[in-house]
Amino acid sequence: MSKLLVIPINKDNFINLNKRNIDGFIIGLKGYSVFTSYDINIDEIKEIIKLTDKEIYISINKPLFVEDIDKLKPIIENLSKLNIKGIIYDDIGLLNIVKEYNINLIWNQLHLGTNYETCNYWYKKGVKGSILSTELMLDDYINIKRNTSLPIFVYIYGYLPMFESSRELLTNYFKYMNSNKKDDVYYLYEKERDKYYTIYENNDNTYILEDLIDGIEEVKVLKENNIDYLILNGLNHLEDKFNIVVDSYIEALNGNIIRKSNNKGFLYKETIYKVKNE
Amino acid sequence: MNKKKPELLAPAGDLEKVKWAILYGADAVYLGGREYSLRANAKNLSIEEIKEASEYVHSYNKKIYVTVNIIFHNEDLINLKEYLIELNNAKVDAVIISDPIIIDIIKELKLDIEIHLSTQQNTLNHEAFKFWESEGISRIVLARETSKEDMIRIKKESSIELETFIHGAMCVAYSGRCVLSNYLTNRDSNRGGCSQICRWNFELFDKFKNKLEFKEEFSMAVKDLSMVKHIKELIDIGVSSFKIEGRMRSVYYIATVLNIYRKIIDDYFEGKSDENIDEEEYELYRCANREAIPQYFKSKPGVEGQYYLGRNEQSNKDFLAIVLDYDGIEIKLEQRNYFKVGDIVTIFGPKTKRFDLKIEYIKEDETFIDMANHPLQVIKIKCDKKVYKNDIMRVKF
Repeated sequence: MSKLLVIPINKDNFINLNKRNIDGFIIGLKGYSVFTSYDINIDEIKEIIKLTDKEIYISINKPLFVEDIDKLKPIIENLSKLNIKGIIYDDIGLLNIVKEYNINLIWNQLHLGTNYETCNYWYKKGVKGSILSTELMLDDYINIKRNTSLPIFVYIYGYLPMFESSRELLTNYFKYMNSNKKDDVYYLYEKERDKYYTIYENNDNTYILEDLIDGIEEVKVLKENNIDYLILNGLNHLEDKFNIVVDSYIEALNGNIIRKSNNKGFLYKETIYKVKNE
Repeated sequence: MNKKKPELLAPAGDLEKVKWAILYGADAVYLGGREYSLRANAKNLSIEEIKEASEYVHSYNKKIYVTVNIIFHNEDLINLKEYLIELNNAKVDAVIISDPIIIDIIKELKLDIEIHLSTQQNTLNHEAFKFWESEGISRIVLARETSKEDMIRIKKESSIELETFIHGAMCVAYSGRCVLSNYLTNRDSNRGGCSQICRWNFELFDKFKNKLEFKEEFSMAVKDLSMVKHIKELIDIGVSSFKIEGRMRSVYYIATVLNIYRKIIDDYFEGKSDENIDEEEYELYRCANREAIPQYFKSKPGVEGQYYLGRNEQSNKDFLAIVLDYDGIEIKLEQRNYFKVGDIVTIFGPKTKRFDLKIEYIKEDETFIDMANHPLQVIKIKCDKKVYKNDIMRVKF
């Protein structure tokens, strides 16, 4: 049975979704989380844990500089005393400092979780789960699950991250144009595919998101193939719309596909990397 | 001086470039095979060529590293073990990896090959160094975003070797954290198919999707990296290996960049001053035709680190000829770009200190001609100073 994990938009959304038949939440740690929208500090985490009996994963998935590591050590110690299901990590430095505590670690190096052998590698290191790359095909998810003992998390709904830079690319651009960045979110337009991509800055970094992926019709096959967790991300969403989405996935896990989707990301699209073979 | 001399590590996209890199002062070369390398569309080397390169490099007591640094998908795992065994048989000194599965394979097969961790893993802190060290990694290529201060701390807390890029192009994103290429061109950036979307221009729209009307479209292109003025600091930190980017770059680029950094490193260890550093910085700029800055070394780059104007990256035709021979009177040259009688040119080489020369005449098959205007044309010019085979003649600037 696949479980449903939700990345809420904010505290109200968390409270609202907590009443629904989902299995858990992914919450960002303020200043150390990317591609989440509800990012809170350790004291706030302590408070929200009291509000739910669902699984809580804390996402600490930004690249960590030396200064970040120093600041995170006491926070990790505090987290180890809380009733959380686990920490989602990206930076290997975090793995190294968490391993002395009894905390479940979920590997999520964004685009690097692409095969079962790497999952097996992290399984042998004591890691308790892997969020796979969002550029994989549906069959890849299934094949990875079949060949690893590591619990598998698949990001099935939301705006996919496709770019992360430590530079302030919007701020720099506006500065060069003798102007100022006024909005929190902008869009890059690409003429050839007639598409808009969300671009925004957070914590002095720049992020670009792709189109929405919505694998609602793939829930059945992922569930049948024992994918452990399906993740829905509320980033870049209005709350009402996201709540409806969450409800539709709850229904889908119960076998009722109540809507269709044309946004399949790479679920059926193979990428190439050699333009020509010699 | 009590400090250890760092390794100067050069890119080599093919066998010819391996030889040029060694000639121009590289202590080690890195290259990709035809499989599993992040420059999938470069020429790269067959396993036979890697063996030949390995023998050549080792005959000069230098080292050779092979990139096996794609992020593997299930289907890429087939034949990976066999490939690593072949690299081991070719006696390469190290593989440069991104995906840790290779660590386990090398241990399982008991291969006599060092493991270097690629910059694709974004290693930015000492705790990550400690983890990888415990896994048997012998060297880590630092994330491009690492500051001087963080390098010092990492060096202090880890006994593993540090490698850092000192020159060449940069990703605007954290390495490995950009899949724009996948989405916009269907080419997998983390398996070597990057189509460099970050060099494109985009129209920018506000949150209401109204187009912003500025004189330049939005660009995220960044300037190159150049550590030419900070080499001493890197040596003092104790960085073990100085890496030059550019496996797809020309022989001229490799020779020029190596020649300059070799001299700076050697001069520092010989206690010589670097009075020509501005000249050298300009020479580096000319050979890439791109502006370069120290990037994150002193502080996070801002607007000055970006390119906004549409740029022309066409070759500037500075590379004029390669020296084939010298008989004490005339240099025999193989032409690369146009030059003519009366031009003043510059010649440099591994054993030849840069000097200027006026072209008094050009001879082809003992016939005097006015210009050299055919690629690979073999000609002779007069020269009083001693030069050596494989020295380079370029435009004087």
